[in-house]
This record gives sequence, structure tokens and C-alpha cells, in this order.
Amino acid sequence: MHLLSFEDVTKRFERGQDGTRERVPVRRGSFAIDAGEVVALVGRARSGRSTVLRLAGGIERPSEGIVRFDGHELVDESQLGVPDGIAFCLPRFSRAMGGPVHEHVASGILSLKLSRRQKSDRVDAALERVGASTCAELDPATLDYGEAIRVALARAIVVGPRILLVDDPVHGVDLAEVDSILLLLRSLARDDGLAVFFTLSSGADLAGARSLTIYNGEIRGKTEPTTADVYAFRRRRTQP
Amino acid sequence: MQEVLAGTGIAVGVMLAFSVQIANSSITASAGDILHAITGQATLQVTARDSQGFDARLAAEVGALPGVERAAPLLEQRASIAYGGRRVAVDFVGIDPSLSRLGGLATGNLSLGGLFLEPVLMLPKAMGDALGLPKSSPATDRTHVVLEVRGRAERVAVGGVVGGELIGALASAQLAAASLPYAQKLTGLPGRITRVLVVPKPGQESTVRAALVALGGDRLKVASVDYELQLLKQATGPNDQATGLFAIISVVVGLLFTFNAMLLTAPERRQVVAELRIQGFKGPKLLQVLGFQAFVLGTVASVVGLVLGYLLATATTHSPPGYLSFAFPLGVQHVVKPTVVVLAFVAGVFVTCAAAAPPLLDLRRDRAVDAVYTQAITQPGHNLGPGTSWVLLASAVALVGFTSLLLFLLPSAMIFAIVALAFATLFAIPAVMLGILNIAKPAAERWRLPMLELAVRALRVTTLRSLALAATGAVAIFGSVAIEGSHDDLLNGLYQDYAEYVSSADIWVAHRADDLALEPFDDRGITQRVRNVPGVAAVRPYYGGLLDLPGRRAWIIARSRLDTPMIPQSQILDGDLATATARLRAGGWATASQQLADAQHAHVGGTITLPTPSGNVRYRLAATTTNLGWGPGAVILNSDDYRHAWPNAAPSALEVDVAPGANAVATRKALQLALGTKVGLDVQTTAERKAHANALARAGLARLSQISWLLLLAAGFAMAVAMSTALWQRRPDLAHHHIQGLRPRVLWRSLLIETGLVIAAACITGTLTGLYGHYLLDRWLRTTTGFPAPFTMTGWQTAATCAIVAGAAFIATAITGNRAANAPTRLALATDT
Repeated sequence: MHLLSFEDVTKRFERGQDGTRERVPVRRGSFAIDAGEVVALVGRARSGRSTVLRLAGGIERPSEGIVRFDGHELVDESQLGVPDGIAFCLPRFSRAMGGPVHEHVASGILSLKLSRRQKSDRVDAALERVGASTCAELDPATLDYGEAIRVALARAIVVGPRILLVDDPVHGVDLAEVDSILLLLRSLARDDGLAVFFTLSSGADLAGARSLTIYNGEIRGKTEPTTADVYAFRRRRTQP
Repeated sequence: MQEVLAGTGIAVGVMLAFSVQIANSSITASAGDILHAITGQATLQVTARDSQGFDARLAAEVGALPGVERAAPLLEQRASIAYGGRRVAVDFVGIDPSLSRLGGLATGNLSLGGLFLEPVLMLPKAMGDALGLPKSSPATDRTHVVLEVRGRAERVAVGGVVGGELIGALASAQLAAASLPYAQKLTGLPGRITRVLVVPKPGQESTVRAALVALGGDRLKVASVDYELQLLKQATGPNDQATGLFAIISVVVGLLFTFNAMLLTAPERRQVVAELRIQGFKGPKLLQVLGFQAFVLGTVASVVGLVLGYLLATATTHSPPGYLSFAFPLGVQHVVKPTVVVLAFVAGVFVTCAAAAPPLLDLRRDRAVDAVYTQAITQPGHNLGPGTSWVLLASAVALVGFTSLLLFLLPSAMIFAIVALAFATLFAIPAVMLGILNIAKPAAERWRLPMLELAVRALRVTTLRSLALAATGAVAIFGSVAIEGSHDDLLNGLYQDYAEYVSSADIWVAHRADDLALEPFDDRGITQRVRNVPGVAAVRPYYGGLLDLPGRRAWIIARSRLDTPMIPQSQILDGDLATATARLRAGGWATASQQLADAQHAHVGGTITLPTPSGNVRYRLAATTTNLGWGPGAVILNSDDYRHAWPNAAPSALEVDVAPGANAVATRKALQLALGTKVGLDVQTTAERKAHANALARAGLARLSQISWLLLLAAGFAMAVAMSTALWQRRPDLAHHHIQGLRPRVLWRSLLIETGLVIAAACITGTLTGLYGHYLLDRWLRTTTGFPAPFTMTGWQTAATCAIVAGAAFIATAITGNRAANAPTRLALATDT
């Protein structure tokens, strides 16, 4: 059972006043993602890549086909932002959520039944994990693109999701920072067991991520995870 | 939605102002039309000082005076007409053919119905409709009605019901006409008249007036025919003033709703202004853009307000206030003056334009284009500026201080004071809101209330929007608490006054619906018949009526020395009950309403002069009182003094004491039986009389009640729309929070807490200024209009007002907030790729 799977998913948007015209950003797309995987969806602007990400988060519902998360059909966005659910990383910071960065990161766990100390520890750990500890007391409006995406990642992972969705994480990021952002995503998957699914406008160096491409709504590439052969340990060899 | 809210505010303001203007001006305007339809070219009149009138031969003497071209006698009495279970109060007028020669179209045409030839009544169409009379009756099979006048009940034939095509404005008048001899017979006043209308020859008016004064001496009154209208204006003045002031408060509140509604859109409009400036638009162009939007909105809303105002006025004021119909000939026509329409429309449009103006402040030279984009604390366009809250609070305190000082120095400047207080409410909101947030934030941290924390943050970053919402609620509560409180105090004052006034007897015998006992009746043994009824312990004649003093028609109350109380205790302003009562009983003393005493510069112990039918009589002033519910003021004296000065006086009521052990209701029934159907008097227990008078008081203040209810409804509606609008605007932000993991239920609870904080600010501010406004209004009613309006703290009512406004806000939040919190998360994502 895959963590996230698209099964013949098509998404249509009605266009025009009478709704007779339509735009189809995703056509019969099928792919799957497992825990600990990093998958990049590469496509140009208006290719449908962000729509795929929204479908993956349950923000949009497919016109045809099924999106499954943890084996269950995603019928709405109810898995968004919940522990063991789906984290959608948005580098946007509403002022209603707080002033300095640490308050914004804490907003994800605001309604969890944790003590103030526990919340604070989790916020610090998340910021530390993404390399944004130095931003904790800053105003989000003063962050550069690279810092903003790191803080947004911290806010996304603080709640403890199983999959992380990121729309173009290197958009606007300084070239020198691009690799480290992609490596951070890779590290989140490898070390923390998160599945990471992100979009990119070009597939320069994907830091070892499995790559999918989307063009005119059609998803291509390695749509299934590579499963390694499994050999059982012999009992006698595992014992001293 | 914002446009709907803004439009509602304007429409409510225009509606209230317009409907009150129609209702107020209709009474005097229709009375003026009626008066001129009767008087024609007459410019002078000689009138009696009481309803007994004077000798009809005086009319011939007047006509023979040098300089008099024509003169016509009239006999006028208040009466009621009953037909088929319906009853109307009318001015019963006896006229003779000379009246038709005065040139009044209406009276000229009355003769067409054979009025002067037959013993019949002629009724205007309005009265025919009110009684439900058949359209026309052949002369052989005439409709008969019962006419009750001066204690007599007579069955009389109706000669015709005449419409506007024949008698013009008279068709809407509350009157009944008969030939003079027939009217004298019906009223039991043979050879008597109450008025002579005079047409002087050209250029001879002053000569004729002097001759008339010499003829009448101080026993008759000589005045211009329009004097009646002046008295009516004076009589309706206090009520009109009160209604007008209440309407102005409502208008101010309505306009502040508009202002707040426009404030809700201010952040967006400030951003638009900034964008346009970046694109090169200059001040005048921006002014055109914003001005045109406001003009269109103001025009549409004002037109809606005018239509609703007219409907409200016509739906709620079918007849003039009952308390006036016993004192003046009135009409039931609605008069809409073009100036009032234009004024209401222009005011509505102007205020909309003024409310739309604040974003133009960004055009000032020192205001950078990016001012709306780079706020560190708030969302774009919401910045209020550092220290502004405290400056505004200081302004609010200064306004309250100014209001108090202004009213201390100039009590009549209530309109300015109440407008200042409304603005003080508005100005105090930012500081009160800040205070509440400063308390809520540490509380949320201390007691680990994340939803409260979220609500506080949300309110802090949407400063203008939150303030606009709180201000809408505060202004609504301010207006409602002030108006409702003083309206109730006024009603309670009238109830209490009347309760004390009628408590001197167990049963009252008087003309039907004549709650003030103004109309005298011929005794014809009635008192003795009442005295003989089993269960009756004592009967005391009560005398009352109206007396024209300079510029006003005062209420004269003449009570038996045996009455207890003689003066309504709660209405005494200067003097004490025991001394004043003893003095009244002793004779030669009277109490007078404060404004009557002031007009004669009299103080307790001093003297006042009354122009009685036997000449000017001086009384010593035993106490001053409120106006006892009669706008122009009232005088109380003992009945012996009254009969001395009014030699032909007849009682206008009988006060009956029930014997110990006898039942008042049973005795009342026995009395009604004893009087029979030929006596046109009604018998009421004190409780029944009180209930009827209280209903009349409520009817008299109906417009005030309507205004206060409309204001409350408008307040609840404004709050609900404002709250819904504000929440709907926040859907993208809420969707973003949702993506971050805040469940819709959590967001919804947070929105409810936000609403609670906003409502708390609104209730605190609105209640404080509302109660102060209530106190000032009561004081103004007492000092300027003379009405009894004792101030009482209206705790429950204030709580109910707050509850209504809060309820509207919470219902809106519960419904719209729930939908907004459940907004699709895609709203948070701007791009569509």
C-alpha cells in the first residue's frame, strides 16, 4: 500500500461564462509515492503541476479517478495540517497568526493539547531541523526567499505529518541556496521518514529525487516507487 | 455586501428623517388647509374664552363696525359621532349662510347639500369613511348617526358625505357641520356662538382690530385667523421637538452606520487609491472616481429611504394624535412638502460622499504611496497610526465634557449635544478596543487559551475592520439605549402623572374618550341621578377646559376642594405638596406648569394672570409642575375659583366615590344604566380611565416608539450585515489557516471569540455613552418640553439592547463564520496552475 497514490486522475476546470469550455490541467494521471521518498514533479508554468499538488493535498477534488492517502480515498482536505497527515508548505505568513517567526511556526500546533513548554520545544526543534533557528525572532516580512521557505517548512513539519507537499520550493531562492533547499528536502525524507512531493519549473539537479514530468496535463516518468529486494536475516546469524 | 450595509445605513437615516418630517408637518399643514377652507378671506376673528361662547347678537354688532366688510358667526363644540359600532371625535361646527360669503370654497359649497335648509349633519368624506357610512342616501331614507355633544346624545340625520371635489381640503377634516340654529339646538346653547370671522375692508385691518378689542374687552379674544395655527404649532411643538430630536439621533446613528460601512471597505479602497497613484492618477481624478461611486450609492439609498419613509409615515399615522383632537380642528391628510423631499435626498447623498472620503486622506503630501503596503503590524490599509487611539479617546472625553458644558449653559442645544455624544462614542472605540485586547492577551497566555490568543491576534491585524464593527455596535447601542430609555421614562412619567391625576375618585363620568375632561356638559339633573345610584358615596363636579394664553392653549384643571390629591405629587417641580394643596383649597392660589410660570416670570408665592371669560384674574402661584402631559402646559385651581372666573361654567366630568363595601365595577354598570342612552356621557372606573389614557399616551408617543424600534432593528441588522461582510472578506485568510492545520471548528470558535471581544468593546462604550445620552435626553424633555420624564436607570433594557445587538452579531458569526471557516482551501492559493 502506497502512502499517496493517483489512480487515473483527471481534473477539469470549467471556463467561460457559460461553462462550455474547459481546461484540463491533469489527464488520467497515475503515480504513487511511499514513505521516505522524495518525488519531484517538473513542469513549466500552466502545465498543471500545482493542480497535481493541490489534488495530492485534497485541496482540489479530482473530476475523475481517485487520489488515495494511506489507502483511503482523499475526499476533502481533512488530512491537511494534522499529525500523521499531509503538510502543505506555503511560504506565506498571515499576520493574524502572529508576529515573529516562532509564533507562525507554533500556529500549526496551536490547537494541539500540548503544554506551552512542549509547544515551544517542538517549534525550536522544527526551526533547528530546517536550519532556520536564527530566524525565530524575526518578522516574516523581513525574511528572504530562502529563509521564508525554510520557515514555511518548519511550520509544515512541526505538526508531524507523513507527507510534505511543497510548491516550487526554490522559486525566487538565491542560486547558491537552491541546492541546500533541495538537500534539506532529501534529508527530511531520508532521516525523518517523511514522503516529500514537490514541484519544480526545471529539473536541473533534483538531489537524487525521483522525477516526474508534466506536460499539457500528462504525467510521465517513473510513476512507481522502486522497491528494493528484501532478504530475511537468518536467525542463527543474527544471534551471537 | 459592504455596499448593502452602507446603503442600509443611509436608507434608514433618510427614512426616519423623512417620515418624521411628513408626520410632523402633516398635522399643522392639513390643519392650515382646513382653516383656510373655512375662513376664506377673513383675516380676523373674535373668539370666546370658554366653550359656552357668547351672545350671537355680537356677530351683528361686529358686522356693523366701521371698516368691517363681512362677518360670519360660528359655533364650535367638540363632539363624537357613532354609527354602527364605530365612533369618531369631531369638531362640530354650526354655520350660517354668511360664512359662504367669506369666499372659502369649502363652506360655499356646503350649502349645495341643503345644509342651511334642513336639520341635518354634513360630514366630510374622511369622517364618512371612518364611520363606514353608505356612499349616498336618498333624502327620504337618510342614514342616522348618534351625535354626542355637551352631555347629550341625539340621533341625527346625515344630509350628505361630501368629497374633495366640493369642499377641497375640508374633505379630510375631522369635523361635522350643521346649520347654526340646528347646532345651537343640538348643543343646548341657543343664541350662543363661539367665534366671529371678520373680513376687514382693504387697509382697515388695524382699525377693525382695535374696534374689536374695544368691543370684546378682556372677556373675548381678538386675533388673526392664523392664530389658531400658531397655537397648534405650539401645542404640537414639544412632541414634534421630542420626535424630531429622536429622529435626529436615529439619523446620526444611521449615518454613522454608513460611515462604519464605508470604513469596512476603507482598506481595500486605500489600496485602490495607492495603485491608481502608482499608475499616475492625480488627486482630482481620484476624487472623481471615489466621488462618483459615493454619489451613485447615496442616490440609490436615499431614494429607497424616501420611499420607505413615505410608506412608514402613511402606514403609521392614519390619524392625528388623539391628545390633540380635543383641542384643535385637525385633518387626516398627509402633506409632503417638496423642500422636505429635496432636503432629505441631498442630505443622504452628501453624507455618503462624506463617509467615502477618508481614503482621500492618503493623498496628503506627507503620506507615501506605499503607506498601505508596508505596515509592520497590521494588514495592508488597516494602519491607524501610532497614538491615534489615545488622541481619539482624548477627543471623546473632550466631547463629553463639551456636551455637558454646552447643555449646562444652553439646555436647548440638545441636538448638538447628542451629535457630539454620538461622535464621542465613535472616538472612544479604538482605545476601549485596545484596552480589551491588552487584557485578553495576557489572559490567553496565563490560562492557555489558544483560541483567545488567535482571536486577539486577528483583531490586532485588522484594526480598521475590527474598529468599524465595534463602532457599528457601539453607535447602535448608544442610540437605542438613549432613545429607548428616555422614551420609556417619558411614558412612565405620563402614566404616573395620569395615575395620580385620576386617583381622586373611584369612578369618572365624562365624555367618551375625553381623558383630560375638557368638554363641559349641561348638568340637566345628571349629578343628582348619579348621586341617587346605590353604591355611590359622593359626587364632585370637576371642571376643566382649554384656555388661550398668549402663544399657547393651556389646560385648565379645576378640582373640588375635597379632592385628594388635588395635584399629582410626582409632577411638582417647585413647591411642596402639602402647602400647595392647602393653598389651592384656601382659594386664590393656582399651580402652573413651569413654562407658563416662566412666561410670566412668576415664582412660587408670586402671581400669574389668566385671561378668563370674566376678564383677567390674578392667582398666586402655589407650586410649579411639569406640563402634566399637555405640551402647552397646565394650570390647577379649585373649582370655586374656577366658577367665579368662568361664570357660565359647566362641569366637564363627575368624580364619583364608591361607598365602602360597594364594588366599583358594579357601581359603574349601575351608573351607566341610570344615565340611559340620552346622556352622551361615558362611565369609567379609575382603572379603565387610566388604561384608556395610557393607551392615548402611547398613541401620542407612537412615533417615538416607532423610531426607537426601527433604530433597534436597524442596529441589529447593521451589526449582522457588518459582521457577515467582514467575515466573508476573510475567507482566503481563513482558508490559509486551514491549510496550516487549524480545523474549521477551531477557526469558527476563534471567530466567535473575536465577535465576543468586538461586542464587549461595543457594549461598554455604547452603554456608557447611551446612558449619559438617556440622562441628557430626560433632562432636556423636562426642561425644554416640560414633559414629565423622571430619569431611571434602565438596567434590564440596556442589557436587552446589548443582547439584541450582540445576538445579531453572534448569529451572523455563527452562520457566516461557519461558512467562512469552512471555505475551500483553494481560496488561500492565488495561482491556478
